[in-house]
Amino acid sequence: MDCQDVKNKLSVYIDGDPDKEQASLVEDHLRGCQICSYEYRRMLKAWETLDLWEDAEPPAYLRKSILYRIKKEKTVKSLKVLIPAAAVLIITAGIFLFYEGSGLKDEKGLITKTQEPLFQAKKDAEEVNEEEIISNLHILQEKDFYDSLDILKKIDYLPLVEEPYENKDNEKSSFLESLSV
Amino acid sequence: MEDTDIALMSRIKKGDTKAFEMLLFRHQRSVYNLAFRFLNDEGEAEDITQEVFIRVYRAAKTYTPQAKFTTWLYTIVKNLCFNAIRNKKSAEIVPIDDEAIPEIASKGDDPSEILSKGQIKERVIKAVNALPENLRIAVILMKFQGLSCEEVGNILGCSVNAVKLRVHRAKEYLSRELGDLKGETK
Repeated sequence: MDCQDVKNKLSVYIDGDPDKEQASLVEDHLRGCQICSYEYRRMLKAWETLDLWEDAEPPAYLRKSILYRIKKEKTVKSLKVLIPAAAVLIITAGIFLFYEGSGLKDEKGLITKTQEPLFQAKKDAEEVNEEEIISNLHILQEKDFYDSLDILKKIDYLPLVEEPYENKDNEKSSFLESLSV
Repeated sequence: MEDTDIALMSRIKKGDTKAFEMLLFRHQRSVYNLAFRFLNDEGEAEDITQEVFIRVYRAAKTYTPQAKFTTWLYTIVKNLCFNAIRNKKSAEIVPIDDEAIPEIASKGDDPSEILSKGQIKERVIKAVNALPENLRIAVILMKFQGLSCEEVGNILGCSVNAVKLRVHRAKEYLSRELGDLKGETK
């Protein structure tokens, strides 16, 4: 091992070379070489002198300041979750109360205020028509009804109503007979 | 039994503030000193220490222990320190060669002069601060934080041989600056 090799290995040797064989080669060289030995002592001294730069004590307020920032961060973090959750809850409750309070709910689901009268009128009309038809069925058994029809047929200004039958009286009586049966 | 750093991190993950306080108490000093020695500025070291622990707290949720906790912690410190220096440089607009070791004021002083402990400490600080950033961080991590070459390599993102080379170059420079000082060096 020559001087240049030793010079290159001095740093590792100072740190404690894990390669014991290399370390003993450096040691052998240092014993016999004054220049390398001087270089080694100089480097070792410089490295050990660094110990004079002791640890500084961090200021007392630094710890408090970090903990304060963490606390603040934690609060902001929980607010970030809570605010949207609260907003969703309020909106949902608002919608629920609005529909529940206005009574616009039926079996088919929610219907709007503008649709309601139309829906109700349609429903009423259906019910009234059915009842009317049933209650007026007895007309078909009354003679006056057919007399009225005859009168209507004879009116001139109703061109669509024509006389399709010749024996009107016979047919009328047979029809009445069938109803009465 | 005292909780390990990794156990404390998993407690922080669950929202345990006491665990964070313990972790802070354990590492605040070393983080502050690493930043302070590297930047040689108390104010900046305080800012970086704060930022490091805020990041640790934020990262607790996603933290997965892959290496030693301190390796991860010092990587954050190193990154923030380099960012601080980069910001400073871009503000100053001064071209700096990362590998060149500048001459320092102590060069012209009389080497035979016997110095006090305080004076030697000043020389030490000057010499370390005169080192290029890549060498300086390697020296600080190895010498002052007591890390191995492997750990330093993990933090700096380089091989063990690269770390050895950096430390060797730094030692050569430091032995020129501090090796001949006379006085109380211990």
